[in-house]
Amino acid sequence: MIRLHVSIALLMLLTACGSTSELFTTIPEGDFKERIVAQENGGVRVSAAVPSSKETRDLFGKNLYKKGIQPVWLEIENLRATPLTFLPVGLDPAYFTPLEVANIDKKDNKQLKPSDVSQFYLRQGMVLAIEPGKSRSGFIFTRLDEGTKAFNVDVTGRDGFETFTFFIPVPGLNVDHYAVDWENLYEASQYVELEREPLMELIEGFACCVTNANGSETGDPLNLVIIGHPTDVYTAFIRAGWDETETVTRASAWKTMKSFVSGGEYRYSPISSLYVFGRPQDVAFQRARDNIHERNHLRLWMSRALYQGYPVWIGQISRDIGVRWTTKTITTHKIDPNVDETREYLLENLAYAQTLKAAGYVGGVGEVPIDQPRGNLTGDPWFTDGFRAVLWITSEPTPISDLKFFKWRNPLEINLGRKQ
Amino acid sequence: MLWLSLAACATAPYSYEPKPESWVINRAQSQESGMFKVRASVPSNKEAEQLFGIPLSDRGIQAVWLEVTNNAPERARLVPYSIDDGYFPPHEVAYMYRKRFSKQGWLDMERRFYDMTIPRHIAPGATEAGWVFTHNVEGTKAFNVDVFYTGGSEARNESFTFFIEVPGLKPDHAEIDFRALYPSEEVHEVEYDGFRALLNDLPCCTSNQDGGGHGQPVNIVLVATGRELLQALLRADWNESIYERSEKYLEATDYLFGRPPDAIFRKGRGGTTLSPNRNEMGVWLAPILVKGKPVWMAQIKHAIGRRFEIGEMFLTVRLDPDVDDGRNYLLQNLWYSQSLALFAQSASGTPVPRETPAEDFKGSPFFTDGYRFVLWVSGDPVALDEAQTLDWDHVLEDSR
Repeated sequence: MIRLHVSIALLMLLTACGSTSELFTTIPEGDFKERIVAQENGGVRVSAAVPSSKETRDLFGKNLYKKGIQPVWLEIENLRATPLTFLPVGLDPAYFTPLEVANIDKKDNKQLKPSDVSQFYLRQGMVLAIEPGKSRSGFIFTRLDEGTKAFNVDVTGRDGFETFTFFIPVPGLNVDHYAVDWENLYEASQYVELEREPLMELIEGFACCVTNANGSETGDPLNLVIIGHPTDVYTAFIRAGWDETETVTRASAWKTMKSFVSGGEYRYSPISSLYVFGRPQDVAFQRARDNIHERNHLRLWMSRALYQGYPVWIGQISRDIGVRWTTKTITTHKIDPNVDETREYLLENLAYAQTLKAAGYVGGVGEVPIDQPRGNLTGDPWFTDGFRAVLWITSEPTPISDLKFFKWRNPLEINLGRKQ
Repeated sequence: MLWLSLAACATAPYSYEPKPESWVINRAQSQESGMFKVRASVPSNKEAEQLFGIPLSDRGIQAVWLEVTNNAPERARLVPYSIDDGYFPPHEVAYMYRKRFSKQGWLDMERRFYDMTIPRHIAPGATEAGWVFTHNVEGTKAFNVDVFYTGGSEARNESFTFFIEVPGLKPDHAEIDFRALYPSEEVHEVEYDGFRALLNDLPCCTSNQDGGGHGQPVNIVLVATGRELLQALLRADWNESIYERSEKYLEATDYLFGRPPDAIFRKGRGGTTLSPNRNEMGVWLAPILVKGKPVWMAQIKHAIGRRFEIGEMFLTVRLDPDVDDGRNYLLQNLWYSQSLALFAQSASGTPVPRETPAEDFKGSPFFTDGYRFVLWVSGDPVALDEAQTLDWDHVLEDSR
């Protein structure tokens, strides 16, 4: 069980956080301390907060976000009678050491002696050993995640191993789902709880594909059905390595443009809108691979159906395999025409990230053979066996051995495409 | 001229050498578990180029050949994600190389790669074979293959782990005859207590080629057979390196027991714009057997940036002076990759306070709390909460 409490009383934490270096006594107290979140379990209390890009610049005098580095502030209180060891690799397997960070942009602190800078960063670093009854705090320098920072804090000792999972929103990014008014998406009376058979009928009756804004043209196939509360969906996708997407603003359009030109990694570029139920997606995620040209996009729309009390979503996933020029939008991503492959990838991705409670298949798209492909809204071809993957998402970590198979449309009976 | 060559390129049909796949399959390794049998083989970069007609390794891609036999009375499902969570689908690979060929050539290549890919589903009693496109690794290719039963109402699977030596790169450790390093009368055979005492007699640090010159601390001690150690390091994403004994190398490298490292492993870090962030670990076999298991001394150097040395006409790396961090990292790295069986801390090194760092023979500063981590490495996976500790010494007060 993960319990998150937002701590309003922060007084005792502030002293631990302040710098002891004379050089940095004037560190402005950023707002990040007002966002401290604490959890307690098994004789360990962990408090965490994540400074934004601007707060980080104020704290460290360097634009660490620009370098792909994000400090995470932690305080670990050992309430046990035995020593405790904190394991930063559990937080980020490729964390940066304090001196590595000190060595970045050395020109920024040229007025200071290099040894003073090193000492400052060493003091900011989080310690690994926490004595019984003691409380230690400091920063871990992690790889950057904008939007929500999702991480584990693992501690171990003679009295056992504990894991704490944190999801901490970081200011500076306008994310799709914050703009959706979930409460008023549908009237309470519009939701319908459905049994298995009527639900399958409903899902298989949904449109095959997304449309453009006025519904005159169809595009990518709707090949996903997700079951879960918005918070479960959100937590699960982040744990599986997906990023929230940024709603389109001038600044983000400019950032996307730059990463297009350089091929560099800008993981939060906005996703263009596709339509289902006459509205653009309620939430969109993307998962960057090596650069902007290689990423997976996923869009979800909440339906009015509930299954065992959980909202049912319809969705679409595609994998970008490159960029090409079009007359419609100037540039667009070329998608992998084998959309079933991408669908199966998502199933495996979510299952291995321990976020899947059950999985199965339903129909509804209709078979599109490889030698008679259809086109999406930007003219990319796609083909499919015609099935939708049904993925029941959970925010509780669920090992693969606990994953259940829905026998909705039995994969033994259906002709799943040979090469998805 | 350039225009001509581009035009020529764009009209080329897709072609490849008509080598039979058996060329690669002949040396496949085979494993059986439960109702499934898996065979795997990995071609060298050159062999892959001939088979696929494109230089896959130029784009960091390595093709892996698999064959799955399903003896279960139900459909089996192979999970490519378990082999490489960033695997490349065939259409993506073809798209990367499309500019080499005409439009038709690209489509021909795309269709061929699609047909060559191993399917995810294997019918009861059937055998399926084909390729998976993974990220390229130099040296031994280490990967898992998970195959699931689909008949029940819950997920059940068999896991296979392959370590496949790929032709083309011979790793440094393969060049060394470990049996010939120490005559048997020089080898100390000890139990835990004797081992703990013996650690005090081992050199604190490396030296340079002529045995003088103070090097950095050797603060990691590994207990494992060579095979277990190699499997654990590969599982923890370390890469092997090639054997190197040039004059220049011998002058610059670290020495322990009078010789350069028996093996060097490297590990990079993805996902950031910082380039030179890399760990390098030198490993030496020690003349010690603990309860019959070989002992290895190791030292990690963590590059944190570049440094220009005046008087030398090349850039060198700036090393993290906090050498304990590399040691702490390896502990967690092996632990999280489920390779740590037993762990102890030994106060047998020489402390160097942070306030007054020492300099090694190459001028890199360093400091340390003087503790060594002794890690018993397991070839079989050990769950995170099952690793044991020996109550020796403790890093009492963290130096920070």
